[in-house]
Amino acid sequence: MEIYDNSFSDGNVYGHIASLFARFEPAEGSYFLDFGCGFGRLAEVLESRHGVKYVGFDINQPGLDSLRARGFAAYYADLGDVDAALELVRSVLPEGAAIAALCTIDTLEHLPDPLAALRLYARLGRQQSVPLLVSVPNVAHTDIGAKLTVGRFDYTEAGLLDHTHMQYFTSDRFTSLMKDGGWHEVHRQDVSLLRSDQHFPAQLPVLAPKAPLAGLLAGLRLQADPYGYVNQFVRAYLPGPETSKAHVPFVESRENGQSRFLSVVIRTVGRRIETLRESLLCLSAQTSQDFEVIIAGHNLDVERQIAVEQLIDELQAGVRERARLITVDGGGRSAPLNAGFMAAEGRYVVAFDDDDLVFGNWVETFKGLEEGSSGQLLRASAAAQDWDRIRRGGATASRAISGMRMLYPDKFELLAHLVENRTPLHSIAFPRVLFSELGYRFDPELSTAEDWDLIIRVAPLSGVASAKAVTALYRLWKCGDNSTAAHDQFEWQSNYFKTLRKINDAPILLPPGSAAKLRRMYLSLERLQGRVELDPDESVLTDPSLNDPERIEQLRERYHELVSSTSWQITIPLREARRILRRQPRPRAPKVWTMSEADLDFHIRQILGSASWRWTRILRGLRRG
Amino acid sequence: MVVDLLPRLGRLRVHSILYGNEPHRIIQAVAHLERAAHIALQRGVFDKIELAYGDCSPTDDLRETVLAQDGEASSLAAVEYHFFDENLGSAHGHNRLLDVASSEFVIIMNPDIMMAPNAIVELARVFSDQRVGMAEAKQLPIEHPKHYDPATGDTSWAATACTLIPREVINKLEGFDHRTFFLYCDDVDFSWRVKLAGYRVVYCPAAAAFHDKRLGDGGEWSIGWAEKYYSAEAAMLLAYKYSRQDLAEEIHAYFKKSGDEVWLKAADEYARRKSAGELPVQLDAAHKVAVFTNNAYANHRFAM
Repeated sequence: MEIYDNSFSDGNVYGHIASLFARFEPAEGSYFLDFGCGFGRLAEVLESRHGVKYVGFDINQPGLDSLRARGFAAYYADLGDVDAALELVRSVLPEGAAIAALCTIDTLEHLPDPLAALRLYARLGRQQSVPLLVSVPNVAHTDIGAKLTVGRFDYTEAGLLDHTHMQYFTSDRFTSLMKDGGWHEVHRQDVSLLRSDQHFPAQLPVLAPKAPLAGLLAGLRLQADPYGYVNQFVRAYLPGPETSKAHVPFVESRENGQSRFLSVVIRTVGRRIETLRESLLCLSAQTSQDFEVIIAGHNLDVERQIAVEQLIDELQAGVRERARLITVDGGGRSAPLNAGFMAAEGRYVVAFDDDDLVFGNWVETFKGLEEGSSGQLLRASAAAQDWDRIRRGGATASRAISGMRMLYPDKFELLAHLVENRTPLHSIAFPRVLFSELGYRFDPELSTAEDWDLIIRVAPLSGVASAKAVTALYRLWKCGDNSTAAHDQFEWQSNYFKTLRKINDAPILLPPGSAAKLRRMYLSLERLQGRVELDPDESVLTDPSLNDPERIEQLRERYHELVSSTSWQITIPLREARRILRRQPRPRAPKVWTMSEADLDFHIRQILGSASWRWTRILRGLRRG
Repeated sequence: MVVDLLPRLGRLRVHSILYGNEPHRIIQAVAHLERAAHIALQRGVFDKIELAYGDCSPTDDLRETVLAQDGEASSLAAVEYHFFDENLGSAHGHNRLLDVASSEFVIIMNPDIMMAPNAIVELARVFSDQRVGMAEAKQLPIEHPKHYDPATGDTSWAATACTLIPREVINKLEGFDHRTFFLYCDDVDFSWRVKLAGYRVVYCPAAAAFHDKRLGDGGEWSIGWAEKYYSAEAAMLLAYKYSRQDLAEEIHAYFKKSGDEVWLKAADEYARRKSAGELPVQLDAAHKVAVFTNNAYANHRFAM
């Protein structure tokens, strides 16, 4: 059996190519030209379904022989020599022959210059607007990515990582290549495989279906784009504009060094123009102006749109040129945020409501955090204050009616956030790549708590860098004008439930330090429930300090406690007698203050394992009793 | 079509006193003012707007920064720099600037104030009533807690962090009492004299001005040495001036017993002035305008 001789099936790449071909309603007697035809196992199907004439081209002789033996036209053609291939095609087609489609299945990845081949096809197809049907393997299949995380990139004889491949395609790179080759996509029917031919060894924790690590990686991959389980991209094209791109696509700049630090996305429905003006004032007065402002106007009617545009126009030129309005119609509270985040160009994005206030160091503090913690979520502290609105003349103005209250912790704690949100949205900035590259969005299904939902989905991945500085002010409106008042308790609870279920259904990453915290919480709970009473000498450590200096201090304490204990003191004569009997030298008392963690650990073990300590166990039991 | 009737108030000068400020924040403040001035001119509220800085810094290093803001394309007709070569304090500094100009209106403003684009228009709006003697902007993000009448805006006193005052009122009151007040309470005193002269002091919540105040890491309200000392000194002097000698003595006694170095120094200065006969002439014997309540000069809506 030849490795490239695959039979036809409606579910495999041949079937998908045949299905795409049918959409063009091919004329009977027209020609189907298959480049890199291999054994051409779809030839029979196409001829019987559509009455077209199949012609195959390849350099693989066994395939050509097979086709000829089955009664089809098949020619040796080297696609590396474009002019010769073109000459050959023209010579084998009768004068005035109609071409139904050009096709190239799992072939472009074998070529050093697939652009040249695509341009050859374009020269053949452009005059008659002939469709091109293409398939290539997906190098970004979940299986390949998962295995790379554990250092495996397994070439195989054929398949996704065929050892003769010269090109690797993601959906984006494939799309760019086709565009550069002069082809315009019109249909797609990709082939998906939950487990590809790279799903081995199946017991790897990055692959095993029920392994949390595999679940986490697959979840991330599926979040990033819809092609995680695509085995082959199968798409149909029509000739598009000619291009002059000289090389196959590659990433030309790794980072956009010129990008702004921050994009501030302000969500507004245009009803609170006076507070929006105050919010914009807080931004224009920032000590760091390294940000852009995107006002995401939601369901604005003409009057409100004009009012928002006038506010932008009022801004001083230096700020105005960094501010823009995007309008979003339809959808819930998340819709304008998602549109704004997708329009953002900064390295970080932060959401801002049209009544939020910030202190002068809001951007500066975020930027300072980025310097030491690039890629993490950036969080500063926020104070809360009660406000109401007053009417004077025909206008409305806002008014503070309480002192500042520190309702939110000054450090982000993931476990606490699993209980409820403790971070006002304008006090946390997100790396933009979470949205532009990994596909994260505010959940459009949620009418409330969409901020909490997003924070707890992305904080475990990126981590959160916190600053104690109070840089944001959260206005709690006491005049009924807030999201708490706009949605009833059932709706809030229902949305919380949805989010909890979402994060509960998937594996979750916890930051370093979580094991100790969870342990402490669990033991505290058991103690409160009266279920455990732990002995300090038992194997379960009640409150271990895992940080090095604290751990050494704890060991020193324990050592001191042991050597000064009654049990140890009253057994000194026994140890002394044994030493004399064994003619051992008098031991020097260890210098506790110079001992390393390992030394302390050793000496404590010596004491706990000694006969003296064992013999005095009863004594200690009596004292406790 | 709703017609927005605004008064036409003539010429405006904006006065601000510098002391070692950061140049980039001065530039930013001027940019905000320039925009607010542009809109005020466009709406016809004023027909000329100038900016004047008085500098109390030890050197005139800020001269170039300030003068560079005086551009032809600017809505500010002039940007002036006056180097005082001594630390005069805010009250005296403003009086010196007031001596050299004659516009119909003056905004007294801190140098770290960033005005909202509509701030000048909203401050000017209340001068449709000729009984108004001071119009104060709303400071953000920390709004002052003093009470004001939501319907009229009338309030006990106006902070000169950003306040619009008619020249006529300033002339009538002969400016700020710089002999008594160096840094703090010069505005409270001025406000109460405005009221004694029969004018209204009005708070304008629609005129926002960003004042770069911050909270400490735990959210606490922290003040520096100068604010603590001069506001303590001013507390006794203000109480004395407004015929509350009993209160002035009470505060003095409290400071003397406090053991706090700054308050002790302030108490000693009060005592020195008293023995040297340098205390101000007493006003408001009938206690019509002055408010002393809970260590503040107005009823507060809440405690900070």
